[in-house]
Amino acid sequence: MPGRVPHNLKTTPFHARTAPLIQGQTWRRWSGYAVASAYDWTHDREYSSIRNAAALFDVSPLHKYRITGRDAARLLDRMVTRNVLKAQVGQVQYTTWCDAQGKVIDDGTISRLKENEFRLSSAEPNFRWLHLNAFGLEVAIEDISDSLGALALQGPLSRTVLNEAADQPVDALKYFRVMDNRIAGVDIQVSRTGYTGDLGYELWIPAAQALEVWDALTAAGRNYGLAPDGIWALDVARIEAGLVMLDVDYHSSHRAMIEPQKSSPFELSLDWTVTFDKGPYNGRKALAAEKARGPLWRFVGVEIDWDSFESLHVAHDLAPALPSVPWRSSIPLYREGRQVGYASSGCWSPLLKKYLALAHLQAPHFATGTQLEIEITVEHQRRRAHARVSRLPFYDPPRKKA
Amino acid sequence: MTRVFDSIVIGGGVDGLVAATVLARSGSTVLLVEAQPELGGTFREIEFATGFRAAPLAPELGHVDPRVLEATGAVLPVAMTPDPVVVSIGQGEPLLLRRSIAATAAGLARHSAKDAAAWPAFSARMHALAGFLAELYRAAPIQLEATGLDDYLLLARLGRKFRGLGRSNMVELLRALPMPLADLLDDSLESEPLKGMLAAIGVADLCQGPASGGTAINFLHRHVGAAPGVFGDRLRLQSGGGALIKALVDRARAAGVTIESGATARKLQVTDDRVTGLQLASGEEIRCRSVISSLDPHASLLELLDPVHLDPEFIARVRNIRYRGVTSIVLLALDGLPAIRGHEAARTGTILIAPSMRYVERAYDASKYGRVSEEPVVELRFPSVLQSNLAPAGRHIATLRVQYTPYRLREGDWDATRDAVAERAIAAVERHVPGFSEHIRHRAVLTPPDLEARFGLREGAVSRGELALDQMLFMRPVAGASRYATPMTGLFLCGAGTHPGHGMTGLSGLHAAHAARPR
Amino acid sequence: MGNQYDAIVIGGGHNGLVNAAYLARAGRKVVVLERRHLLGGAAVSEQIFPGYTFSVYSYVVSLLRPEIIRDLELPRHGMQILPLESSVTPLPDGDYFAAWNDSDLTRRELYRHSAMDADAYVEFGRLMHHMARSVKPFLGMIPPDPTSLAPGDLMGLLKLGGHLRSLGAERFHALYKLMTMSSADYLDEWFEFGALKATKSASGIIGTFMGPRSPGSAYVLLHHYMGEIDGAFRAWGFCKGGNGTISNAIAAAARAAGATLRTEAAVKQVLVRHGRTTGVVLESGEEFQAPIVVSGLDARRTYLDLVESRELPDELLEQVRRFRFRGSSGKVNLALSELPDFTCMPGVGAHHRGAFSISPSVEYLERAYDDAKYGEFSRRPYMDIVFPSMIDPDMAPPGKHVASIFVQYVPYQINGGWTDAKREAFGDAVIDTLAEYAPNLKSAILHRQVLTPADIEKTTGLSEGNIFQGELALQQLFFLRPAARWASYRTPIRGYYQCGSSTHPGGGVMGAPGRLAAQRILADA
Repeated sequence: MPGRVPHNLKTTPFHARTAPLIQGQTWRRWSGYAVASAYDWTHDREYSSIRNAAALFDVSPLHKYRITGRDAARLLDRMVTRNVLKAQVGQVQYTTWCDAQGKVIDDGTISRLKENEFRLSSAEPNFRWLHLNAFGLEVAIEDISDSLGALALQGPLSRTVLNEAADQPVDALKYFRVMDNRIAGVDIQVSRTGYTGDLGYELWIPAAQALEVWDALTAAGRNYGLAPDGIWALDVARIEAGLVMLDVDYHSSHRAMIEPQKSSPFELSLDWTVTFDKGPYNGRKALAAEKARGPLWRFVGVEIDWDSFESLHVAHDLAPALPSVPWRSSIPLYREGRQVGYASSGCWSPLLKKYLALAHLQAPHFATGTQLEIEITVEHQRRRAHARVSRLPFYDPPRKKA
Repeated sequence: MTRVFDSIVIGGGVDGLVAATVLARSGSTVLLVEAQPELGGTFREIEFATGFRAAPLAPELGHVDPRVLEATGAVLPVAMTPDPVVVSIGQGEPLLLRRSIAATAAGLARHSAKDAAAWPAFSARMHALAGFLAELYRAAPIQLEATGLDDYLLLARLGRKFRGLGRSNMVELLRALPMPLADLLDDSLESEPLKGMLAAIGVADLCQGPASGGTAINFLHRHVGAAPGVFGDRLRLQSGGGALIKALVDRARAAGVTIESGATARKLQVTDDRVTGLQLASGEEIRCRSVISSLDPHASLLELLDPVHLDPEFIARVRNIRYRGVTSIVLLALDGLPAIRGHEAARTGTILIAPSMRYVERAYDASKYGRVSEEPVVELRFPSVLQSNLAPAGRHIATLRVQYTPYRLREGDWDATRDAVAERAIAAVERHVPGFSEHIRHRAVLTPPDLEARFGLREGAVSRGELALDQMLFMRPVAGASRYATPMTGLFLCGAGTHPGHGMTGLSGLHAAHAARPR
Repeated sequence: MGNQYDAIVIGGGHNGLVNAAYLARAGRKVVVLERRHLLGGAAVSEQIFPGYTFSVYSYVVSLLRPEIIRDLELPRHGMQILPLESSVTPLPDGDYFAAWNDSDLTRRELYRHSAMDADAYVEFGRLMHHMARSVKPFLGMIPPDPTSLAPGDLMGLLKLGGHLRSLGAERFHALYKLMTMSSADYLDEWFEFGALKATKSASGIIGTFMGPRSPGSAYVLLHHYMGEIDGAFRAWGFCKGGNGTISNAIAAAARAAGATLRTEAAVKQVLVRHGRTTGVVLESGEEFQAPIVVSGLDARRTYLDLVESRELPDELLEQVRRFRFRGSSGKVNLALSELPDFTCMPGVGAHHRGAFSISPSVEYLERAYDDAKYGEFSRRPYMDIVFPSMIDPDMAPPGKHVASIFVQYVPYQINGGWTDAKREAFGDAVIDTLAEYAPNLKSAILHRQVLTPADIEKTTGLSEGNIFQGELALQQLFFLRPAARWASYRTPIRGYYQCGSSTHPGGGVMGAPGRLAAQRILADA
């Protein structure tokens, strides 16, 4: 028990394989783990593997909880905004969960592994919140974040790679379903889920045998352009897919310092995750009231008008300068000179050839097609480029669900 | 055929009876259900040995605000006023707390001339401060977010009352609220027997010693409704607490309340986020528009109600309520009355063993570590001296209130400790009343777990939620439910666990009925 | 008339110096009269043993008001605050609990002990942040008297009422709980890991005569978070050169503004004529004249020692007499040949640049209190230990070290009275307890200085050795500090003011009373 002073962040179960690959030493923090921003010096190749071949992400820093017991479904159902009681075994649900005021605490996926066994994955720690919700219920909650590694295998060839590596074919695995499988003799679970908006899978792997699975996957992927991918490439893909990110696009209501920093599922445009066709759950009353009233904010896509963007640069005799990596900061958005919202993340989409942003807009300025201006800095001067509210996702290939 | 009432009141103690009566008198149809075969709650008498009865938790009936009587139409049965009120023994000459301030002061002179001189001013000041608390208790607690006209009127009334204290007492009140009782007493008094007596009275049923902050308020709380200079005794009835219950039951029946004893509430029925009925242990489901529960807040909110209806943060608040019962009651059947060194009159009042503040503090220390006090604070009474029907002719009963005996023991269990509590308490009495134990023919011990099992007191806490500054007023039982309404529409709370708390007999029932009355 | 001034400040402690600096900056001719041979009061650095410099009494800094640092340009006058990087609580079973200056590392460490607490810690920190912000306006204002109908007081109360309402119900209730609960109960609502609760609640008992289970001990938890919201420095810091450097920097600022600073000038009495002060007379007989006299001493000395009681109303005298001091903490300062090697974290490392807290459980603290409650020093005391030489190498000769050990409880009123033998027995109890966690300690000690509350009183003049010039208990705060009606830095004697930690907002090396008193004096002029 006596220990050394811990000077380093935690490392994931795949660290022994990923560490030697990071050429630029672009380490970053993710939930207390050290992970790669990119393996190459830039993320270009990694991004194209997502949309063109297959990409392998180490997503082990996700928080993972195993919930079992007679009331396991009731616990999750009273906590989240979707109807968990209706989920079938083998089904995965993406959902938000809220506080009593209907403000989002976190979002994540719930996998019904057995009748009375669920796995919740989330961005923030939720151990205490699960326990607070479990009062009076017969459940066991286990934090399996450290014992369970996770890989995301994403891209048009991900199914091919997985079929090559896994004992059971995954062809029949439908979108947002989970199955047991085996790779390199290791019992794992495969879910048809991801954070790229493309065809893809997430693999749930015992930490102790993580490397065997990694090796088998990378071997199987050799002929299919499989590339290990870092956070930058992931960020581009998830912005194209219009997927919201905690701590970037919104703050957990448990972490927000002031009320305006909190968001409801409606304000995040996640209406489809909120159902009233179920029993009592946290925030239900507030959400029903908000639904009746209509949300004050919406989370939308914004396309920056290229001509306008270019002309602001040309005025300084410059070529348009695009951000080299996706950005995560707050950029004001205006309509007819008045600020009506802010963008919270953005990037250049190499696929769509568009400069994209994800943004929060106040009512009534969030209708698709609304003309906006976005603040950009050109040669140390703040300017406003034309932009337009766009439907999300920006990119949605049929193969995602096919 | 499903029965339907406007309101169902759970619990047939004083607060439940008052709430039911007030609601019925305002025109509602009311059902009152009591789990025990008898009504009375903590005022209930039990037979602890053949022919020997006692009301273990009701040596005195607290403060009955005139409004309670007015609202129910009840008439207070004949009261009695033992004098001396308290006789403190254990160090030197017994110390007598008399009804008259002058008489107490005269007796004090033998202990301390300074205290004898200080007593009248001390008594007057404590009375003034407790008087302000009484004013606070006369209505539902004021809230920070108060906005209504009623709220402002209440605020104005309290402001006037506060100003009425005069500058010096205003300061004293604000100063006393967070203070250790020991400091409050040290400020005015010097004699250890006197301070020990007042300290024991002030920390009664509290899992704190007099040196702990926030104990002065408990002392003042227990003085609300008492005459100046009288501590540890407010209302005692010639025929015991049962007489008050009987008077209230009569008024409830007269008002049309349906009373059912032996009926245990099991589960609240909820439809569309509001209470629509109550299921009994018998399986019967009764429909209603509101339920007023006088059970403790934990039972009312977290056991009767399916927790999925409540915000987890709110549940956490309810779970954080501190109960921490520390009191045990020893009931003794006596073959006669022991002699008390020339103070036979003491046998009508309370005999207290708490000879110094340090004694009380040391007794408390044990409970911090989950142990029973080696030398406990003991209150001894002989209720049968005045209420002869409690024992067969010629026989008597004695009740010993013993503190500190924590609900949770660090080592061993209560079955193995129960006798030790009785023996230590009896030994403490025997030391100062020689020959006392020879009269004992039978004994029964009610430890905190016993009080929980027999009287439904969570953790054996008579207070139904420790009376501390953070669990009083707008924080009682928890923030967000202090005005009797709860986050569950149609569920209301009353009882000692709600404002104004233990000893303010019937007031919470009255306030809750007002909150629950259909508008 | 060489001794004619606009204002005389009695006592060269940090508050007196702050007060003098502000008055001098406003153009007043000010003299500070300090009894000792050096300035600083309880914030002094001294070479107790040749080559070894100690912050003899107060030893860390967190609460020094950032506006004072900026106004008086203290960094320009030599003050430099260095961060204390961590806090380690060694545990009896050989393990430890540590809080690092990195939230990921701290979470990882906490998670090792309790997954629930690791989650709760972040939310707790957020709440404390809010609470610290909620009380900040109280700290920065001259307290209004709620029993008064004077327009100024009513306005102040209205302002406070408005502030409380603006918090909203949720934060108001949280603040109310924090102000009224015991730290043990408060932390029980949040955490389950004993050493975490103990280490946090220890900050709630410092300088008080209460145990962690006594209601009223919770709100001091806030102090730990106060520094952060001001953006001045994170949590606790250490002043380069010891806390005397802070005093010297303030003194330099005062001097630069024209103030005269006199040491070895013990004031015997404040001169009063017709209810108005005219100056002071020293023990030496020397007289100083000024229409303004400001006492930086504690309330007992300010009212009972320096002026004739007939000059004061009985009602005030009674309040001052019952103002409670009850010093409960002591200091052990060590010169060391090597650093203590803690069994729980072997070797010399980053952890020696932070604090060590001997607070393994709430029950441990409560038992330590029990000893003191009955008039003995804690046989196994709570300790807060830092090694200043690890942060500032100038504090000890190369390769050698100094340790500063804050100890509680050690009562001023000890059974039988303090003797040299008892002081050493107390020192032994401290060393014996610490050596259980760091066995090489005893052989590493070159010199030791043991200070009981009685010693602190004797040297610094702090009544009963209370480090806050009076207990920081709710009934002695705000408009009651030190006495109702006289919490606005004025006294009943015209021209006589108070500016020590006995006044709002109280103790710690904060400087706020000195500054607020100066504001009052300048506004009254």
